This record gives sequence, C-alpha cells and structure tokens, in this order.
Amino acid sequence: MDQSLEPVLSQPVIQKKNLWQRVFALRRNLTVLLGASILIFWVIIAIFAPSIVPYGINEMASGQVWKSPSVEHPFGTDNLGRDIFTRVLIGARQMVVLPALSVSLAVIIGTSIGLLSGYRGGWVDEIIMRVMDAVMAFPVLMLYLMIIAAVGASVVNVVIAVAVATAPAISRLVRGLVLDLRSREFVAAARMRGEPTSYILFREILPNAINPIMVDALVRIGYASFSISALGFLGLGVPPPNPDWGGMVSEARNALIITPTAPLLPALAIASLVIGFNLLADGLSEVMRTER
Amino acid sequence: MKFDLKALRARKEQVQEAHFEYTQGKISRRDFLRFSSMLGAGAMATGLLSPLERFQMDQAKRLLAQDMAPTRGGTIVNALGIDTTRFDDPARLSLVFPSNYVRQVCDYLVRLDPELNLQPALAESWLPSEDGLTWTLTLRQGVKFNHGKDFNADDVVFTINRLIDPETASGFAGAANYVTGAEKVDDFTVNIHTDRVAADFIYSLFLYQAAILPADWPGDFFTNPWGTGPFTIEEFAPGEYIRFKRREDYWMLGADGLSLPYLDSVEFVSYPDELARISALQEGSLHLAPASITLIDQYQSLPGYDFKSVQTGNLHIAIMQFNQEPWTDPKMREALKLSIDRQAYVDTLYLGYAIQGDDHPIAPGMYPLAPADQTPRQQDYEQARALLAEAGYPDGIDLTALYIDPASDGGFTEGFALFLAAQAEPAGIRIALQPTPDYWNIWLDDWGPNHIGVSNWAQKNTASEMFNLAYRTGSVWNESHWSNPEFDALLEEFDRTLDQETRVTQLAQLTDMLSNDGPVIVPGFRQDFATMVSKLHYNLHPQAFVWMADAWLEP
Repeated sequence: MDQSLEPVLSQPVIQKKNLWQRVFALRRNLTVLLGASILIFWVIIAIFAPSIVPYGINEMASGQVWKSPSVEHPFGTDNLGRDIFTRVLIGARQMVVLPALSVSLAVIIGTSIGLLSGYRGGWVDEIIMRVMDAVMAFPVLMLYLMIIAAVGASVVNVVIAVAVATAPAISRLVRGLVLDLRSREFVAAARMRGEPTSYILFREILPNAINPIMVDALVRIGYASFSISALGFLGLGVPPPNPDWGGMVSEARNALIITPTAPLLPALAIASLVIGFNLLADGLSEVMRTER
Repeated sequence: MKFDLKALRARKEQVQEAHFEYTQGKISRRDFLRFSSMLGAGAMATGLLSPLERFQMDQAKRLLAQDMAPTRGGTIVNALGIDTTRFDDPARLSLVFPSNYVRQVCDYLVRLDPELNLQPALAESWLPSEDGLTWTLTLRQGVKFNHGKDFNADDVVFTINRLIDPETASGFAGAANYVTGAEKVDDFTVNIHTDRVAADFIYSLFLYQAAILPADWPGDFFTNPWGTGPFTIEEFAPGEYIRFKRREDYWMLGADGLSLPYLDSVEFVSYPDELARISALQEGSLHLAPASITLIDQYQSLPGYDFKSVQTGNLHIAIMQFNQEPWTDPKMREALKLSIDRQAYVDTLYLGYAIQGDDHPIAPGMYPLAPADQTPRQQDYEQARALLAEAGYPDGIDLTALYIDPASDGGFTEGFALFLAAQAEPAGIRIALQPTPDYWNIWLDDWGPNHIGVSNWAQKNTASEMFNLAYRTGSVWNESHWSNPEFDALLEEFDRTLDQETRVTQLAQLTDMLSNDGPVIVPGFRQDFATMVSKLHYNLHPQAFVWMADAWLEP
C-alpha cells in the first residue's frame, strides 16, 4: 500500500481549487460516494441513536433470551433478554468515535516520530526505526493483549493500545515521505532563509506529505474498527454495560445455531464500517492520482 | 423442596398408569414413551408448563424411573462436572469437579443422595456419646479395596487422622476444626473425638476431602487410585479424558440384588466449549453434558436427548463490605436490598428455573433444618430512595462493582452484575461495572468506600458450614467482613445444640439476622442444567456431585 501512494508525492501539491470545491467534486467518484454514504449513515445513527432506540441498553426483557427478530425486537434479543437493535445502534457511537480517536492519536505520534527520524537521518533515524521495527514485529493482537493486560480494560486504554500499535507503521510512511521531500528545492530554500527546523518540518514538509498521510489514516481507521471489535470479542474492550459490537458477537457465538441473526448483525455492522473506510480511502487516493 | 405434592402425584399417577398399561401390553413401548415425554419434555417444549410444573415433571419422571427395572451394561461418555486436571491427594481437594473422580473410585463414610438425604455408606450407623464429644461409628463389614485389602477400622483412623494433621494441609481441618482425632475400638467400630459439641459433625464426613483411603496408601492418587468405590481407573489423559471401568465386587447392591454399578464403563471427557459439546451431542458421541439455560430451545430440539434440571442451593451474591462506607449504615444495606426484584432475577437470568432468595445463603428446602419455603422482601424503589435520603444521599450514590471477569467464568458472574446494575439504577444507586481478572486475589481485601463485590458460592452440606466459613466474625472466607456478636453467639449455640426442634428455631433466627441486617444480597438460588440421552437413567445432584454407580442405560 505504501508503494502505491508514492506517485502522489512526486510533486508538491498545488492548490488550484478551494477545499469545498474539491470535496464536492469527489461525489463524481463512485467509490468515494459509496464509502462516504456508509460512513455518513453510521455517523447519523451514532448521533441520533439515543432518540431512535426503543429500549435501554441494559434493559432486560424477562424470559426473552435469544429471541429471533420480531416487531418488538427488530434484531432479536441476547442472552439477558436485552434488545440487540438498541445495542447495535448505541454501539455505533463508540465505533464511530473510538477508531477515529485512536488513529488520530497514532497519526500525531507516528507523524512526529517519522518527521524527526526522516529529517534528522543518521543514527537518530537508525535507532528510532529499529525501535519501530521491533514494535511492528509483534503480532498486532499480541501487542493489544499485552498493553490491555498491563493497564486494564477501559475506553481510554483501548484507545491508547490501538494508537501505540498503529503509530510505528505511520512513522515509517512519514519517514519515507520526508526522505523524498527533504532534498527538494523548496526545503533547501527554506533552510537557506535560515528558518528553524520546526518551521521546515511543519510548514514546508508536512503540508506536502499530508495527502498520503490522510489516505493512509482512513484505511487505518477501518483496521482500528476491526481491532477494537477484536478486543471486544476477547472481552478486553470497553467494559459493560456499554454495548460493544465485538463483545456482542462473542456473547452471541453460542447462539449461532438458534438465532444466527444475533451474532451476524453486529458482525455485519463491523464489516460495513471497515468496508466504508476502505472504500473511502481507495476512492480518495484514486482521485488524488487523477487530480495530479 | 418446594413443589406441590398433589399435582406431582396426579402427574405421577398418569405416567404410572401408562406404564402399567405398557407392562400389560395394552400400549406399545413407543406410545408409552411418547405419552410420558408428552407430559414431560414435550409439554416443556410448548412452554405451557410453569417452571414449577416442569420441575414436578422431572420429579415424576424420576419416580417413574425408579419403578422400571434397571438393566445392566453399556458405556456412558460424560462431560458433566469434570475438570481433568491431575492432583496428588484427595485430602487437599478444594473444588467439586476434581472430587468427582474420587467419588467413582472411593467411598465416603456417609453420603448425601440427590434428594439431599443423608445415607449410610462405609459407616452403617453413628451415635454421639452422652456429652456429645465422641461419635461412635459402626462400619460396614465385608468391603474390599480395589487393590485387594479388606476395609476395616484402621483405614478410617488412618484417613481421619491424616485429614486433621496440619502437614496434610487439608481443607477438612478448617471446615471441621472441632475434630481432634479418631481411635479404633474394634475392627469395625471407630470413635471420633471432638473438642466441642458439633451437632453437624456427621455431615463433615461427606466433605470433598474425606474419601476413605486404605491405611497402606502410599500417596499420589493417580498412581495409586486405591479405594472401595464402584469403579477403577482404566485410563487417564490429564486435560483430556479419564476412563473408569466397572468393579465386579462393589459392596452396594442394585435393584436386581447384584453388585452395582449397572454400567460397564464411564468416560469423562473434557469439552470446555459449549458449541463443541452440542455438536458432539448431535453426532451421538456424548451422552451426558452440562447445558446453558439460555440454549434450552436448542437442547430440547435434540432428538434422543432430555433436558434436565435440578434445584440447587448455589447462589449469586453481592457483597457490601461491612467496614466500608456507605455500608456501615444499615439503611444503605437495606436500600440496595430493596431495589432488587427477586422474581425478575428468577425470570431473567434463569427463565423461571430458580427460586427467590432473601439475602442469606441458606436456600429453602436445600439444607437440613431449613424451612421448605420463605417469603423474600419485595422490591420497593420508593422506600429505597427514602432510605438513601435518610442516610445522606438524596441525589443517589455512585458505586463500583468488582466482579469475576468473563474470561475467567464465561460471563456467569457478569450476567448477574449487569442485572444488579439495571435493578439498582431506578433507586438512585448507580453501579459502574469493573470486571476484575484477579478477583480471587483481592476478594478478602478491603475494597475501599463505595464498592460492592459480585461473586458466587456453591451450596454447602450444612448451614453451619456456610456460616463458619463466611459469616462468623473473622472466619476464613468472611468476604463481607461482617461482624455481629449476637450472630456469633447464636451460631455457637446452634453448633452445640443437639435437639432438632431447637435448632430449627435457631437457624431461622440466624437467617433472619442475615436477611435483615446482613451485608449480602442473595437474589435467588438457581437450578443446574444438563442434557442426557433419553435412555440414560441418572439423577442430577444439587451439589454438582457426579456419582455413576446407580446410573443405568436402557438397552
């Protein structure tokens, strides 16, 4: 994926149109449109969920366990008689916020490390990149488990765990971009003007690397949704009673034979979110390539 | 046990009548089975019967089973009540599942049958001395260990004295700490001495650890599985399975006058995953397995299997530490107790297959001397809120619940924690849930203010055992740190009293004290669930004991 983004860098971005015109122009790309629609759908659900849902997230219907979808319970009920429709909708709130939050954090950490490492080069680069390699060498799920086991499961810790595990890959990408950009004329010009390093990094190099970083981040948000669900599935996600799509799939696993919809619907919700982010990212990189 | 005898009798008569017609050749075997299953499992599937009626039907079927003549032979593959880990010494057992291996190979001096009646086993009779400090046990004659030795008083003296030896480090020494020693009177009479009157002494002989081992036992149970029990170990693969073979010369006789057990062999196989168990049941390679109540529809639709349940005294518990704020105030303890709807607990978590609890651990009908029935407190949010306000929390209170995390117990405790949080909220008691992987490291610590613990307990043999473990001031497992001198004094008196009628009154006072003032919430007592091939005649034990000696399989 990193390679496929390379051509985007070959020239500094020239601002031809304003931001809104550019965003609006994106609608012509079908992939972008589809991805964005899915995501906008979930964002709307997340915002309005509390006023849409028919039950409380921890409201238990006595004796109504693992019921198939019905008028009262459109998605059926779970092992405690809770309404799955309610829990999927409310669960969307954290699934829209948490992956974006963890990847934003990862982008800040990864970009800072990548900028420093790529611009400085030499032994600083060598040490930082070997450390990043070491972190990346761990299987991602193992890394999450280690972090969560060490600090305990909570919303904040899940965000931190995903950010820590995602940042190294971002730093590698940014470093690659910086290595290419730092030898450009406009950087040399800034250096000759006597600008401080921070100005060169954040005002000259970063704006020209931002597009591939954003596209990369979108793909990673998709993966982060997946990771957060996986943590929930393993019981290390957001603590109850907050509905967690991964946790719901895990709880409903045994009910697969009697109410297949119980694990399937939250699983579909996770899948749609991941697909939405991936489509949007694919579409955007396509647009950027053609825009150039 | 709580059930309507009249209705039970009526149903039993119906089934028996059909059985009579079947034995007279008036109806076919298939019709008879269809009829009885219609009254039992068939009716259950339609959901027409109340949980109580289902329970009665189980009873009726059980009684019917006793009318049928058992047949011999066959092999059972069982996944119920097992934990195939290796252990050295039965005296150091602390969990019920491993003790189930010992049960197949060894005998106890007495045993509690599935109806919780005390039955003689290796001891034929027992009698306390005048001062109540010595119990004289008359032992069964003509019993042989599976390694050839004859059973006699030496083996009992060896076993008891080993159990109370501090070097053995047996749980028996704590639970029955009044036992000071055993002494041989003659070959089949033993005196067991206690340092104080212990009315429930005889039940301690059925603690997990008290299996009788021969006097020449060299140690290491799985290398030297010596006992007088119904089976011998044929093969053991730790973590996977253990296979037992029938003994030819077991002392206990079956209905046909021959030595038990009826079955040729029993295999205990480890199936930790419920889905794996269900597919094994579907393909017929598993005959008896634990079952989740939430999957009852699935189990009832398995052809050739019956879904069974047995009432237990096992309980979920919420612990309000007595020495921590806000629980030092009795009003706060009462407020939380009042916010729980006990019928909702029974219906939501157990689909009706449970009985209500009244905030003490002694399940009605499940303990000797306990009443058959009780009327628990009713949910009353208004009064709960009033009590909160009186205690200085007019805007409600925020609490944190520590509980055994789902990774350790499959979500068994979490279900109750969620239920508790949902029930308490309208009263203004807001409970945040904190699954705690190291719960069993911290369960006896001070949790600090505004905490509750959520956990569960297994039924004990006697009320005294339960109280002396967890409710007496300073007792070893007193997780609530409860201390009530009045309760302690009455408990001591209860332990010392031999008159049954007085003890009934004393027990009622003890449970009332816990219910009214105590530091725990016990919302109910669940049933245990299992599925078994319809041809298998086996009675589930309320204490999760598995004993295959009197199980039999229709041809």
